[in-house]
Amino acid sequence: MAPLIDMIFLLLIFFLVAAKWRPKEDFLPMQLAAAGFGAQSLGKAEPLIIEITQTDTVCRVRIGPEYAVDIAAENPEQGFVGLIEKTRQCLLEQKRYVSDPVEIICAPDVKWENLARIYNVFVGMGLTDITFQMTEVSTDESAR
Amino acid sequence: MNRPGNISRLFAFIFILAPASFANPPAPESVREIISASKLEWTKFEDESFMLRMQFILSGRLLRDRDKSFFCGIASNARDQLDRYINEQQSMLEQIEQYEDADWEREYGSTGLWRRLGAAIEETKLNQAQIDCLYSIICENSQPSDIVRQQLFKRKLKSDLGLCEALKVSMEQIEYFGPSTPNEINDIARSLSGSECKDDPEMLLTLAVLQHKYAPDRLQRTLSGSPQTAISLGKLLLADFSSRLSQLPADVNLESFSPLDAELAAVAALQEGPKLYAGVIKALAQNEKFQNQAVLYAAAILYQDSMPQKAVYLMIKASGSQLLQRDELLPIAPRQIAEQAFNLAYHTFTQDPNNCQPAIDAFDNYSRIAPEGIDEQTQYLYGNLLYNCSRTGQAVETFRRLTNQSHSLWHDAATFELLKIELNKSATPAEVNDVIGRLHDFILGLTRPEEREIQIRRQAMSLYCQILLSRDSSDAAEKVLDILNTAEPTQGLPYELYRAQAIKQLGRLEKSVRLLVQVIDFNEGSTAQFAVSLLSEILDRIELWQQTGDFSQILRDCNTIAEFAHKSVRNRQTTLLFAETLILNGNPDRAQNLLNTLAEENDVSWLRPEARLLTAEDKFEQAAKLWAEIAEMRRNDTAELNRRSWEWWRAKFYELDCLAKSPGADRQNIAHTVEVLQNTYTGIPSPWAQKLESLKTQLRETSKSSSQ
Repeated sequence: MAPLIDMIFLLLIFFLVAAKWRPKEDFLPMQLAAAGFGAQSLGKAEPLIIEITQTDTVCRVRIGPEYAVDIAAENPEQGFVGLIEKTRQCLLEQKRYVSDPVEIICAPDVKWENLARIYNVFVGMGLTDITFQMTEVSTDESAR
Repeated sequence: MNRPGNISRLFAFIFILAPASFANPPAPESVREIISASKLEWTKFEDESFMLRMQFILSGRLLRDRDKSFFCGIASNARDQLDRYINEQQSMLEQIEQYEDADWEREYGSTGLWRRLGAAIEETKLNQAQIDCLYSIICENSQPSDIVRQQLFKRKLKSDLGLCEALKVSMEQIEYFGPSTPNEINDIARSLSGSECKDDPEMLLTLAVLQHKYAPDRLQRTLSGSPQTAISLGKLLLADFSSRLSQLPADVNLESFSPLDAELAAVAALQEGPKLYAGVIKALAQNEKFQNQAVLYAAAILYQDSMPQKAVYLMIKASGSQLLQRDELLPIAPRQIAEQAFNLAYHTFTQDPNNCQPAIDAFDNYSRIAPEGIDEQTQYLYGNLLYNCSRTGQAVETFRRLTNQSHSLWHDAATFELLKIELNKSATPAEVNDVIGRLHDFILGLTRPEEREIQIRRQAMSLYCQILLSRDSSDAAEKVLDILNTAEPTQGLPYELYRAQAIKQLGRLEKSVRLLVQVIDFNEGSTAQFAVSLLSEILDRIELWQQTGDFSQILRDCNTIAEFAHKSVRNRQTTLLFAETLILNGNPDRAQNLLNTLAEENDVSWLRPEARLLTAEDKFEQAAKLWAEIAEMRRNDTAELNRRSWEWWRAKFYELDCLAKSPGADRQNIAHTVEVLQNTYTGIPSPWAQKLESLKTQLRETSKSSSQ
C-alpha cells in the first residue's frame, strides 16, 4: 500500500503533464484616440482606408479605392507579401507618409487571427497611425 | 303839510291818463300776430302729438312711460299757452270794441279783423278744450267732462267748415268718443277718397288707425292706395307688438294680431331694420298663421348673417308665396327674392363647401321662378357650385350650355372651367399633355383687352405655369418661359415669380435671384416660400459664382431676398440664411446678433454660418474645427470611395485654409495633406481643385521663405 504522499505527488505530476496551457493572446499595440472630435485629426491627411472582408477560404484586403489583395488560408504568406507590395505602391501613388493615418474597416466575420496578422504587417511596414473604424453594434447583437 | 296836496295831484294825473290809455286800441299787426300765434301753438301741439295719439288709439295706451310724460308735458304746456292767448285776445277784443274813433271802420271793420279776432277766440277755446279732452283721456285715464264734450260738439256743428276740415273734425270726434253710428268711419273713408285731402298722410293714417280699431274690413282698401300709410301703421303695430312681447309671452299676445297686422309689422320692420325687432319677427315667423311672404322675408333678412342656411330656405319659401299671390305691401318681386336667396346660398357655400344643398335648392327655386331670365353669371356660378359639390356631369352640362349659348365673356370663363375639369379628370400623362396643349391655345386666344378676359387669362396663365413648374423639368421650364414671353405682356407678380421659378429650374440661379429681387414686395409674403428655396440652393453653392464679375451684386441680391424671407417667415431656417448672407456681405456683427437668438445645434445649417462667422472674425482655429465637423458630416454624401461631394470639398478646403491662417500652423504638413487629397481622390469639383492647388503652392512658398 503506497503512502498517501506518493499518491498526491503522482496526481500532481499527472495534472502538470496532462494540462494544456492556453496560448498567449495576440497583442495589438494601438493607441486610443483622444477625447473630443477632431482634436487630433485637424489638418491631417485623409486616412488611407483599408477594408478587410472574409469568405470561407480567402480574406480580402482592399487598400484605398484602387488595390485589393486576397490572403488564402492555405498559403497566407504569399498573400502578406502581396499586401506589403500593394500597400507600398498605394502610399507612393497617393504621396503618403508612413506617419499618415490608416483606417481599417473590418467586416464582423473576419477571423481575429487574420486581422492581427494584417495589422502586424502594417506595423512592420512602419505605419504608425492605424485606427479602426468603430461601428455601433445594435442592442440585439450585443445581447447575443 | 304838503303831502295831502301831492297825493291829490297824483290821483288827478292818473285819472286824466287812464281814459287816454283805454282809448288806444291794439295795433292791427298785434292782433294778427296773436291770432297766428295761437294757431301756431295748436298746430305745433298737433304735429308733436300726432304719432302718440295714433299709438294711443291703436294700442289703447301709450307704450312707454317717457311717451306719456312727454305727451302730458306738451299738452299741459300748450293748454297754458292757449289760455294766455285767449286772455290776450279777449283783452284786445275789448279794447277794439271800446274804441270809438273815426278810423275804427278802416282799421277793424272793413279789414274783418274784429270778426276774425272773435272767431279766433272761439277757435282757441275749442282747441284748448280738445287738449283738455286728450289730457283727461291719456294723462288722467278719465273721460272728459260734459262741458268739454259740449264744446267739442260745437265744433262739429259749425257750418263754415270745408270738407277736409269737417272730415278731420269728425275723425277727431271718433278719436275721443268713438263712432256715433256703425257706418260713420266707412262714410268718412268714402268722403275722404273724393276730397282734396285724399293724399294727406296724417288724415290717411288717422283713418287707417280708426279703421283698424273700428272697421277692419275696409282697412286693406285704404292701405292698398297708400303704401306710406301702410308703413306708418305697420310701425305703430310693430311698436305695440314689441311692447306687448316684452311684457307677456308671445303666444298669448299673438291671438289679438291678425295676419294683416303681422304683414304690416313685417314690412315696417324691413324698413326700420329687422335686427331692431328681432323678437317680434321671430315670434311671427314661428306661428304658421302669420307665415306670409313679408314675415318670411323679414325673418330671412334677420337670419342672413347668423343662420344663413335658414335664411336661404325662408327666402325660397317667401319667393314661392310671392309668386303665387303677390303681396302689394312687400315691394320686392319673387324673382328678386329668389335671386337674393341664391346669392346668399352661394356666398354661404364659398365660406363652407359643405353648404352645397341649400345653394343647389336656391338655384333650382330661382330657375323655377325665372326660367328664361337667369343671367350668364349666375349660370356660371351654378356650374362652379355643381362641380364643387361633386356633380361633375351636371357642371359640365352647365358650362357646355354657356359655351354654346353665347360668345360673351362668360363663354371664355366656362371654357376655362371645362379645361380645369378635364385636367382634373385626366389620368394618363398623355391626357394631361393634351389638356395642357389646349390650355396653351386657349391662353393665346384670349387677346381682348376687357378686364374680365384679362382676369381669365391671368388665371389660365397661373394654372398653366403652376402645372408645368410642378414637373421640375427643364422642358417644362422652357415652355413656361415661352408662354410668358409670347402671351403675357404685363410684368410683376405672379409672372415674374413664375419666370424666376422657371429660370431656377434651368439652373440659372443667379438670374433667378436677380428677377426675384425685382418683384418681391416686403408687405406681401406670397413669394417667401420660393425665396427660401432659391436662397438655400444658391447659398449651398455660392462659391461657384465667386469668380464671376457680378459676384458682389449676387451677394447683395441674396441679402435682400434673405431679409425679405426672414421678415415674411421668421423661423430658424430663414434666420440662418439671413445671417449667412450678412456675413458674406461683410456684416458679421448683425449676423452674430441673429445667431445669438438661436439655440446651438450640431447640424450643417447651423455650423456653416457659424464657421463663416468665426472666419470673418479671424478666429481661424475655431472655424477650422467647425469646417472639419461639417466635412465629417458630409463624408458619406457619395457612395464611391475615391469621390467626395461638392459640399465635402468646400468644408475640407475651408478647414485647411483656416488652419493655414491660424497662428503656429504647420504649413508644410497642411501642404502635404492637400497633396494627399489631390492624389487620393478623382474628380475634385470646381472651384475646389483650383483653390486647393493655389493653397498648396502658397503654403510651400511660405514654408520655403520661412525656412530660408
